[in-house]
Formats: sequence, C-alpha cells, structure tokens
Amino acid sequence: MKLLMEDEKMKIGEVINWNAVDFDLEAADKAEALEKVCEMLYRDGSITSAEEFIRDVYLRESEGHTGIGGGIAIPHGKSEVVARTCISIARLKKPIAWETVDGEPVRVIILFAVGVRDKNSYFVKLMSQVARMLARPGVCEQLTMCTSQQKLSEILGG
Amino acid sequence: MKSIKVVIQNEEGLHSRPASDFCAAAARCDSRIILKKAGDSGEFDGKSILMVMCLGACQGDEVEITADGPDEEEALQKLLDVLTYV
Repeated sequence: MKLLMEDEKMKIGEVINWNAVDFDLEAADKAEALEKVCEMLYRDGSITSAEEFIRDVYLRESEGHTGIGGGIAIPHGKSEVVARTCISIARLKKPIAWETVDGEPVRVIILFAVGVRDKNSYFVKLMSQVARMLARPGVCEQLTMCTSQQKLSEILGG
Repeated sequence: MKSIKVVIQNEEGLHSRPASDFCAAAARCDSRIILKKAGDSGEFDGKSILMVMCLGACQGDEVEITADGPDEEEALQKLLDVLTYV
C-alpha cells in the first residue's frame, strides 16, 4: 500500500485496506461489528493488537458521535498499535444501533486505523477527503447499497 | 453578518471533542454559522459535524467563522470561546 506524503493529493482508494473490506458483515450490535472489523485489520497485520486498538476506538467514541447520519459511521482509532494507517469498510447485513446525529441505525462502518505519526495533519486531511465524498448527494445511500469492490471503487472515484 | 478569524491551536486540529463541542455550541445559535479555511474556497455549515470534518482544519490553520442572524455577535463570541479552550 502506497505511503502518501502529507502534501500529496490523497486518493481514498489508496488508503483503503482491501484486505479489510466486507460487504456483508454479520453483527448483532456495535460492539460485535467493531470487534469483527478490528479482527480483519489484525489478521492483515495493519494493527498489532486488536484489543488495544478497540480501546483507542472507544476512546474516540466517548468524545462525540461518529454516526454522521445516512446510515454511515466513521469510527477511528489513533493508536500505537497501528502498523499501517488505513481504512477498513464494512457494510452490515442488518443495520445496527449507533450514536448517530439523525437517530437512524448504521449500515456502513468506515473505520480509520491511524498510526501515531499520522494522527495530526495527515489524518485531518484524510478525514476531510472522506467527509467531502460522503457529503456529495447520494453517496451515503449508494454506500449502504454497495455490495462489490468494483461498485465501491466507482463511488470513491466519483 | 459578522466574521472573525481564529488560528486553530489544537495539535489534532478541529476534530473529535473540540469539533463536537464546536458543533454543539453552533447548533444552539439562532444564526447561520459558516466556516471557511484560508486557502480553501469551500464554505461549510458549522452546525454539522460532517461539514466541520470536510473543512479539514489542522493546527496552525486560520479559520474564518461567519455568523449570520439575530444573535450573530453573541454566537461569534461563544464559538471563539469554544475554540480558545481546546
């Protein structure tokens, strides 16, 4: 996975960890969903401890809603156990409860695993790119219905 | 309509709890709250956490906050206070 320099235009698709993408994740609730997504990152080697990383994800969860509405959640963990900054994406088989700004459940989780050296301006810029994509009309809805890598790539490239 | 400029002090930028606190304070204002960043033509709704993330304000970035409405002066002061204490 290409390591991007701070002043290089970010392509979200290059930061997505395609080994940690699931279009049909089965999870009963937020805890199980995060556990399974973190497990994907751990198996891939992007994080060196699922337990510690989840702790850092929940630390961020305590600071404000990561459910941005439209069925999308953007949890993230800035952690020493992140070996490679990357994004994992999971579309859930069934929507799950989450702390969201619109009170609706979540269907798609976009989880950022952020290494400590990337936790400041790199992460802010990466999140800005993702947020601007999510803010485009129809994108959130498209993501909740996305069931393939090809379709996801089209949405990202849009 | 009134505006002020503020330089982001927080090491992690306008994110996480500071961003949540800012949005919560903005939402309590009657005025429209618009955010702009120096060097970026985009304008973002300060009451939306997604829009605040779109802004992408890092430490050292100068952000312009515009309030437009009946409590615009008070709104700006409150939002400046929020950003000053992050």
